[in-house]
Amino acid sequence: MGAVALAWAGRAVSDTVPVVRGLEPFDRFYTREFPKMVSIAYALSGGRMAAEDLAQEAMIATYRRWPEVGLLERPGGWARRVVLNLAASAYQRRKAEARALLRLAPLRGDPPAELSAEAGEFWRAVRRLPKHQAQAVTLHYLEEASVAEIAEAMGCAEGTVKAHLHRGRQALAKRLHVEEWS
Amino acid sequence: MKLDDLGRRAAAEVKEASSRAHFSVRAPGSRRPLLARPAVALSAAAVVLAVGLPLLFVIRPWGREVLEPGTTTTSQATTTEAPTTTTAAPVKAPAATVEELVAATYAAVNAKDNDALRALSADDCRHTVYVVGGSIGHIAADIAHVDYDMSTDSIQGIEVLGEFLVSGDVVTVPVAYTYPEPDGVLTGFDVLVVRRVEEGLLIGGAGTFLADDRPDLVADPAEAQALIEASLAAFNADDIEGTLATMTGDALLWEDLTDGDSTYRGTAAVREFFTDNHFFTVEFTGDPVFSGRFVAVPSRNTVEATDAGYDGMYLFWIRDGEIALQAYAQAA
Repeated sequence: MGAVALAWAGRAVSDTVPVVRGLEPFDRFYTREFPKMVSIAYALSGGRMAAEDLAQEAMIATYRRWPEVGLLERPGGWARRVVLNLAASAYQRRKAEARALLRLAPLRGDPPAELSAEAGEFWRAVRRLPKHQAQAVTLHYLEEASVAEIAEAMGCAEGTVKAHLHRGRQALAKRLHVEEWS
Repeated sequence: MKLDDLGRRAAAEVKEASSRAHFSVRAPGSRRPLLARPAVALSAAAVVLAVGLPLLFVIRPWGREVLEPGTTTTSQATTTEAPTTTTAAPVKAPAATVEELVAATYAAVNAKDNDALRALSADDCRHTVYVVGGSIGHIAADIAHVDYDMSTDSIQGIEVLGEFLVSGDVVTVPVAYTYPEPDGVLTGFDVLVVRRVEEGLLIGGAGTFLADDRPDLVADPAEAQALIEASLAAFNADDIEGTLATMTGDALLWEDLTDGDSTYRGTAAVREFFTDNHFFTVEFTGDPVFSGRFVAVPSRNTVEATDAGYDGMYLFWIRDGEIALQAYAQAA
C-alpha cells in the first residue's frame, strides 16, 4: 500500500509507513485511547470539561476517517495530532468550554478542583510555554512518549522536538524553581 | 526537587482525573447521552441559553461584568534607577481599577522595577512584542513577565499618547516607546488583557505593537476604516476569499496576541484558519483608534451556535491599502 495522505481541518496529514493489517474496530480504539486524549487536552487546556469535549471532537474526526486512519501503523498518533491542535487553539477551547457549559448547566456549579496545588502549578507552567514546547512537554510527561512518537504526533522533525523539549524543560525548571535533570 | 519527578507526579494526577471523564466511554455512532452528542448539544444551545443565560455569568469566569471605559491617562516620568531583580515569588498587588492598573504598569516599566511589574502580573502572564520597520513586521519578543529582567531591555521610556480604549477586559493604550538611536521613537499600542482576581485586577497577558513613524507609510484613516469594515463584512458573509482579498499575500493572522505561537502567515495558512474557525461572527462595537501605523477596534465575537458573545480587541496594520497584520485579544 502506498502512502496514505489524510487531511484534517484542511491540514495535510501524511503517514508514509502504513502497514497492511486488519482494521481494528473503532470501539476498541476509542475505549483504549479516549482517556489518554482527555489527559492531553486537560493538561493543555486546563479545564477537564472542555478537555472531554476536545477529546470527543478529535475522536469524531478520527471516526469519520477511520477506514483510512485505522490502517495507519499508529492511528493514535493521528488522533493525538488532532487533539493537540484543538487544545492549542484558543478559539476551539472557548467553543469547547461553551459546549461543556451547556452540558453542565443543570448541575449549577463548577466541578471541584481535582489536581493538587503542586500538579496544578506544574501544568499551569506548561501552559505558559510557547505552544509547541507545551505540546512536546505534555506528550513527554503524560504519555512518556519517545522523541519519534512526539514528532509523529506533532507533525514535525525529531530534531525540532528535541529543541522544543530542551527549551521547554529549561523554562519549566526555572519557573518552578526545580532542578532540570534527574 | 527534580523536574522529572514533579512532572511524573503531575502527569499521574491528570491521568487519574481524566479517568473520571464525564463522557461515558462510547464510540461515535453508538448510543451516547443526549447532550454528549455535539449536534444535539448545539441544537439545544439556544433553548438552554434563552432560559439560563444568567447562569453563564455566574458559573464561568469569562462571564464577568465588563470594565468601565477609562477616560485619560498621563505618561509617567522616566527614571534611570537601577533595576531590581529577584527570584523570590513576588507578592501580588492587584489594582482596584483599570486606571490604577494602567498607571501602575507604566510607572513600573518606566522605573524598570521588576518586582512592581511582577506584582501587577499574573504568574502566567505572557507579553509579545510586534515591531514594524519599513514594510516588514515581525514578532520581536515573547516574554513572561515573571521571568523578565527589564534591566536587559534598552528601552528608555514609554509615553502614553492619549485615552485608552477598553473592550471587555482588554485595555488598549496608544503609546510611544523611546529606544536609543538608531531606533529612536516607535509608536503604536500596548494591549493589556486584564485578569480579575479576588483582590482586584492583574495583567493576565499583554502585547505591544510598535512601528517607526514614517508619515508616508501611515494609512489614511478613512481608507483604513473602509478596508477593515469591508474585511469584516466579507467574513460575516462567509466570504473567506473576499476576506483574504483585503489582506496582503504575506499577512499575519494572530489568533491570540498574548501567545507568540498562535500565528498564521500567508494566504494559505490564513485561509485554513478561517475555514477551520468560521463558527462566529464579528461586530465592531466602537470606532477605530489610530496610533502610528496601527488601528485598534473594539469588538464582540459571537459564537453562532450558542449566541455567546465575547468582547475583545482587534489590532490591524495596514500596508499599501491591504491588511498586513490582524491580531486579536480577548480575556481568557
